[in-house]
Amino acid sequence: MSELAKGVRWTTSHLRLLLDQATRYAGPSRTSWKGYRGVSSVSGSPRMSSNSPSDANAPRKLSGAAVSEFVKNAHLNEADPKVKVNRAMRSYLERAQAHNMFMKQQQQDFEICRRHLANMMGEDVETFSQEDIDDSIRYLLPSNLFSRRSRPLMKPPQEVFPQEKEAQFGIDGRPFRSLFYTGLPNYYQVLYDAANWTRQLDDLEDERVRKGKVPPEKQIDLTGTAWKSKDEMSKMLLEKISDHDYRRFVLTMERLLRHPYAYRVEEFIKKYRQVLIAETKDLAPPVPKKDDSGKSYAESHATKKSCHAWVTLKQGTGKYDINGQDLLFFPRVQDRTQVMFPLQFLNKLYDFDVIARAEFGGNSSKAQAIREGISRCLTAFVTSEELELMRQAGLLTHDKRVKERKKYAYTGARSKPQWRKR
Amino acid sequence: MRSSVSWLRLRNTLTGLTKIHVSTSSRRWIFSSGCAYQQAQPNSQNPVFFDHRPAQLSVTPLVDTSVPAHLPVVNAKRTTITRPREHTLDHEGFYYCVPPEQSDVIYGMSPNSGAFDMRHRTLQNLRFQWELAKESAIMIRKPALEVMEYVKNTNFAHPVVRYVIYGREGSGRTCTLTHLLHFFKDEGFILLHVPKISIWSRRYKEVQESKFKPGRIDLPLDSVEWLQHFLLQNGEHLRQPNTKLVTHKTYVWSKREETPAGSPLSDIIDVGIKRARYANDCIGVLVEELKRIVSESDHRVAVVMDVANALFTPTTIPQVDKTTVPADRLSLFLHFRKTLKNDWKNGVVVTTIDRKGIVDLPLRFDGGGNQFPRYLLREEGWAVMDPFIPVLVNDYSDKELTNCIDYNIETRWLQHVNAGTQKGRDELKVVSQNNPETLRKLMSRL
Repeated sequence: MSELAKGVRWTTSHLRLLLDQATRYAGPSRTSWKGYRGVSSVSGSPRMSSNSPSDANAPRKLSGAAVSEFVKNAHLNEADPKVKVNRAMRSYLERAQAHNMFMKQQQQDFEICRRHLANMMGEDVETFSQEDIDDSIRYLLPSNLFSRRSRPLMKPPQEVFPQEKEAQFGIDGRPFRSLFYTGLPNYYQVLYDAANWTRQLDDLEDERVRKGKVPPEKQIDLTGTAWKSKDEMSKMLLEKISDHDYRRFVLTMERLLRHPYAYRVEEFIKKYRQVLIAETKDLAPPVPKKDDSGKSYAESHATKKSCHAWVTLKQGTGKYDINGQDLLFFPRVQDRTQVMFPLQFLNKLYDFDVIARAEFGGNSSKAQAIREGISRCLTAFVTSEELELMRQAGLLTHDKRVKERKKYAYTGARSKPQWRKR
Repeated sequence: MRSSVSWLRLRNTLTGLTKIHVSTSSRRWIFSSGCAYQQAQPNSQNPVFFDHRPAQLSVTPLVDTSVPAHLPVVNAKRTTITRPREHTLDHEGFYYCVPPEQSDVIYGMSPNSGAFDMRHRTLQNLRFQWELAKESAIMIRKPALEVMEYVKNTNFAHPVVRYVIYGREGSGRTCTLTHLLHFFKDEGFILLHVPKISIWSRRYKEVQESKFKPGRIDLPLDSVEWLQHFLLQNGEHLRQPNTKLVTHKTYVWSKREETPAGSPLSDIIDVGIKRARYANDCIGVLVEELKRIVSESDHRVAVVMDVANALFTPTTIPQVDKTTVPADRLSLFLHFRKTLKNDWKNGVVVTTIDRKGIVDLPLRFDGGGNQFPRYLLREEGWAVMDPFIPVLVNDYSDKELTNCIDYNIETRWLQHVNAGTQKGRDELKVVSQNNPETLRKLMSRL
């Protein structure tokens, strides 16, 4: 139990201190608790107002600093029975206090564990990073569990335990904003802001039209970005969003984006975009080597289901050597086409010889593993444009699907034995 | 037939509309070529239906003016020389057409010509191709030229020379034999042709105990078929007046039936065809007599045998004790083994060997094995056949492959939009790996 729960009396000075701390945390735009408004005056000037609505509505988290300060001073001062603290606020403060203490403890534990682990691994304690921790855990506690989430991990507590929301109401128990009653205040704030901006921009457009001006040819550069996903949004707003909510968010934002003056709210829009990672940058093509006759070749290893394929791609005339036979090693046309496809795709059918060894699995697995191996080898010989084409064609994507295990009492992974009425 | 493939997203060749539907109930071929208009407007220039009536075989290539716009106009390389003797290496990869009058005698592709069922079962792919193209075109390839060259330079006073044609599956051994059959017929040989030995061990028709030697197994209906086939191929020799092909002793079939000495061999064959019970023994007599007569006369015999190694491998014919009949108890096999021995003259023996057509457990589960004569003939066959001249049949060379694709485009068997393009040809080449049989299967669905 926290100290607050032991009947600490509240004083005005304590509360002022708490309010100051909270104000400082929430940012400069919020001037007072009571006078809080989510958005600046709508009917005002169409120009961008200085107190942007987006600033004021950053999702607020537990203000641990304020609470701890309050608690520190609490037991020093006398209780002031005149101040009435709402029960909800008190409960919130208790939770905040408990959470804060818990996180502090976890942080300490994590730090101790990190140092212990560094010592165990014989590494320098000061430079022992998170990556080193992950490697060590993987080494010390090797796990073959199928689900990655079930495998042992050691992460900083901030990543493991979810953040909690800041109080949405004051000491007197009144919510700061009416959106509190929607249940998803942060989410609806975003929608409200977007709609409000659209309206303001409409007004602006009307005014410009009246003056006979046309909108400039300005566009927001959104290449390589996409709307934040539903999960990302949930994480950002600290609220659980449904699919329907997310669709509505995207629709509203798209409508704002289509506005000819949307470039004026670029900052607001970009806050809800996330950058797509260029995948091809991550690919490490195998280094081409030279054999005795001066022909360059590349080697790779690929898998599909239980099949392993070791592929060598050598400059040549389009010959195939698959487990000692030519392409007719595969009796089915489909498999032969699979193997041929990467080379055919780049019009390099007669530029390379393929030497492959494929083991385990069936014909189809072997063909697809070899195809992936050939594709990987090819990356050593192609231009970046061709590489991008290959990636888009799905040639560089590993098929990570595996056979689902058979379940006890079932005839297969999912299928049940035939049921017969007795 | 085949649905469009969805496993390759960017694939734009080799996929497309189904070209030919085979309606199995009526056994008629319907050209739809992916467009309904042909089916809707049948006319004389654009034959739509085909049935089992004798094919109108012609030497000249099919000329059809109504080529759809998307089909390229291609002409395969052909030669007008129809005598195989005159084919040289210059004609390698070219097509030539067997004249219809000879083709019907040698290959007997029309149902009226007798022994239709056996021929149908053995040469059906070639038969379909010939029927659809309305011509019996054969590609001139090196192994056949090689054997012909040897035969032309053979001294027939010596014991027969044996040839074993081998190669991997689908490389064209049987098609080499068809070319050689024409050659032998053209040279005036008596043909002792067995289209496929293994149908007797695997797809036999009727089984009975031999009356001639107890313990042996006869296949009466198969024997009758073969005798009809033999008669058809060699009618001109057998039906000649004053023929030298006569028996040297009297053969007694039963108390009342006998063939006296000095009667022509066609009498023996007639006995076999009319009385299926004696057909097996007739074949035995025929083989013995032919070997004897030919060695002394100016007749020449060509033994052409497909899948000869089946003569030395067990059959699938069941016995009462749940075992199968071994090869040395099937009387047909024993008769034809005699032709492979080199104890006679004025003849030539051309055989092929095959891994697939035979019934032998060790060979079926050999993990691939190989296609070489020593392996496939095994100890027993090797003892009979050695010494022989091995002739290797390779897959198509690039030149042959191109001509084959051209021929199929020309005869409109291959109607895919990309068939004539370089990309389509490349894909056919790589996917088939130049193997003729694989190429045929690939093209059959395009």
